[in-house]
Amino acid sequence: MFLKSIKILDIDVCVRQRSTFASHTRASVDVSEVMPYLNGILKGADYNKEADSIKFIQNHVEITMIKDQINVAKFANRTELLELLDWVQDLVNDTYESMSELTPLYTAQHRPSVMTIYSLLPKTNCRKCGEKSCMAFAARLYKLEVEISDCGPLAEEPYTANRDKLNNVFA
Amino acid sequence: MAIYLDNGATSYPKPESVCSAVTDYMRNNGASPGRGNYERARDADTLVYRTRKLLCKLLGAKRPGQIIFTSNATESLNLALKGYLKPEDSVLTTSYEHNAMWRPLKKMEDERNIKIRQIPCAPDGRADIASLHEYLRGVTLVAVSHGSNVTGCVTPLDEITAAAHKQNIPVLTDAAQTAGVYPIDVTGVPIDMLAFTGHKGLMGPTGTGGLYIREGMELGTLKEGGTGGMSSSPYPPSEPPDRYEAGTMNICGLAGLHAALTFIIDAGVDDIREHEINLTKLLLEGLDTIPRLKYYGPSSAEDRLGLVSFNIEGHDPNKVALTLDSDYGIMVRSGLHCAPQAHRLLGTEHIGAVRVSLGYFNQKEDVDLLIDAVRHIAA
Repeated sequence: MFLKSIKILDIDVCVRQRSTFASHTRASVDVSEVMPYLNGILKGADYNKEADSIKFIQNHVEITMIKDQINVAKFANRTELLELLDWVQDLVNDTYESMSELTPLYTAQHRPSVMTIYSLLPKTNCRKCGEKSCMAFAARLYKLEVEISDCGPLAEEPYTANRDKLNNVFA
Repeated sequence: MAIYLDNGATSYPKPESVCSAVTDYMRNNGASPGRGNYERARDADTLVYRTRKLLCKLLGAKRPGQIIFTSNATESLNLALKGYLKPEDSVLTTSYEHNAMWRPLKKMEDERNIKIRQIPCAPDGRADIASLHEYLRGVTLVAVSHGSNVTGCVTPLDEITAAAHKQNIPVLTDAAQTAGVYPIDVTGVPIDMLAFTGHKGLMGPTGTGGLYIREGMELGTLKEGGTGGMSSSPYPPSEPPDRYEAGTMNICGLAGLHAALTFIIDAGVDDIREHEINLTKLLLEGLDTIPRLKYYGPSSAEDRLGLVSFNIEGHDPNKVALTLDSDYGIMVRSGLHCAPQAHRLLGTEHIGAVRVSLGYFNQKEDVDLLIDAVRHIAA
């Protein structure tokens, strides 16, 4: 097994709210060599070859890997943190095992800015998505906390062309 | 030599690994999970998480956060019923429920004006589900025992769940007598809530138990208090499992339950079930040869759990149980078994019955000795 364990070094959830929960962990090996392959398969990952780091979001939780460090933020509780670390371990090991069949991606994925996303939304502030405004929805979509399909009007004319553009940039 | 045949109350002996895990935790860790940020507290977190994962594996649940720890099946059923049912709701249950289900329902009948309907049963105690769809009309929750602790009957959860879900009615089941000794898959048969205890078929310490809750199902809380996270909020967190687990956990018990689950998964629930079926066959065959003895429930071991209740004509069941203990060193349980509903069904509500409940560590010799002893008492 490539990544045998992930040891939690620090976990702070008592005082804070979910938006600031954080945990620092140490992987049993430096996972840098797997990162370009993770970058090739994870949607919206932010890979930095020079820093040997990759950042991505899974189920609203932020995960940053730097060499043998794995930092996790915005989880709900310790159970979710531990479940996520199990998932990361499986992901890294499965990716490592499949590297010969995968195509590495060494460049950062270009995610559109919040303003670019906003420009493609209906800008009607209809609130059907549950957000207070289209700008708020754009900010959450940027963080992958919502799906494009959560914006109902995008499925209707005259916005479907913009929806297709958004689907392309998040593909 | 003492023979323990009261595994329906609590299993004994426990695997040695369970005893070691409890004392090892008390001696070498001792920290409270979900609280501190030092290594041993984090190790305690991991132990609790791994226990949830083993339960997921055993019960077919997908995510560890769906397993809520409680102190026993009774607390789990109270959480499920009181957290889900609203005033004027209607519940469909069976005619053989344990008081763990029956008493909370009766209390809510008084306090929340809920309506209780019962599925009729055949004389051998089996639920008659032929006309189930009629009983489901207007029901907001189906709450049924998975296996009776008196008749040994197993409720056909697959058929009940399919019928209830057709009408968008969630299903709660009490798996106190089945978890660990009977195959359960909450994904294959999509149960919405499943209450279990850790100390019977699961072979863990008393004081452990839990409730599986389907993802997306939110209940009201049974208790509020410290959860170790989001402490600045005056209200419980919204996400499970913390939402339902206020207060310090029974971590010593969970350490034992972790070891017990490991033991069961290694042994295999199918093999455990087969062992119990084989012993139950012997037990039923033996009881059949004793004059004036009547046992209750299905006559086929495959159709029932590894527990059999019986009475001997002209003998007080309580005295039979006392004699088995004092003269033969055989431990069984008499009385109503906290399930007066089931005894009413059998017509034994005034005298009770003697219950023999087998366990994984029982052997053929135990059953043979019991049959000999009962034969002597009945003669």
